Amino acid sequence: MAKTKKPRERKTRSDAKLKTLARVDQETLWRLMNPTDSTVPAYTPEDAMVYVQGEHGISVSESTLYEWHSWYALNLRMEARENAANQLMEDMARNPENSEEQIRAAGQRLFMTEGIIERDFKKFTGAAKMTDESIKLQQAEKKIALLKKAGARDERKLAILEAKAAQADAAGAVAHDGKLTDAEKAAELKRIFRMG
Amino acid sequence: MIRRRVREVLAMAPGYGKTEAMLLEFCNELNGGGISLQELRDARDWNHAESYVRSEDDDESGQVLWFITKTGIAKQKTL
Repeated sequence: MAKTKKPRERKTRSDAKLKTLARVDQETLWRLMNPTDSTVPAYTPEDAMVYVQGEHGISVSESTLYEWHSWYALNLRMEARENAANQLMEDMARNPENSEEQIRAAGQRLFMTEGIIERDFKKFTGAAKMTDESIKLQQAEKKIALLKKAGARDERKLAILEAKAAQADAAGAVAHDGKLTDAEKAAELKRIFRMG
Repeated sequence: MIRRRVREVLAMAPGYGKTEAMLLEFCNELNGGGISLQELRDARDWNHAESYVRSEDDDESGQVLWFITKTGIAKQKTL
């Protein structure tokens, strides 16, 4: 008689234990490890592991906790970008002259450039590691390459490129302006990119 | 592992496309570094072949944007 094969139970991946917790529970864990109030001591990984075990009955390793922490941090930043892009698109949608395609493209562009205004400048933008001079040099090189390619026939393309370069310059200046708060930088960058 | 990273990154803010550079940066961030461009491309192309991700040309930037598909999201949920 043939043996009936017992279906193998799928083991939950260790990192999924935390990633599949309810959002509110993940937020709580995040806040415990990253309190907004500087007078409140942050949970160490050991504290967090004990908390997760006690609160959710889940035993996680330190590496699982670190993996979840990186994943959640990136999620938060992506959400911030998403919200900024959504907001821009909502604003643009109020103007009937803006086509759906223009609105979508502007949202996507902001999503791609939003890294400039995130708190962790160094991590996020390769551009942040460059000096202003090197950014300008790159832009100039791009212009030259484009000119050669187009044979300087398409003046409209060049005008667009120059406008974009001007936007990038303006955005770079805003990003490096120590006098502005993050919120002011965000507002200023939105204003700059809406010009395009 | 890298294949999963690609889906994880694309599943964040899924309505917005990510460029190859963004994918490489974010996947490395989740992985703690160590993912080369070639490894990323192999993993992304595998996901593409499985219809877990899709691409779109962005005329404005001249870059290819990558998105997760519904199938890809479903795959992510079978953790």
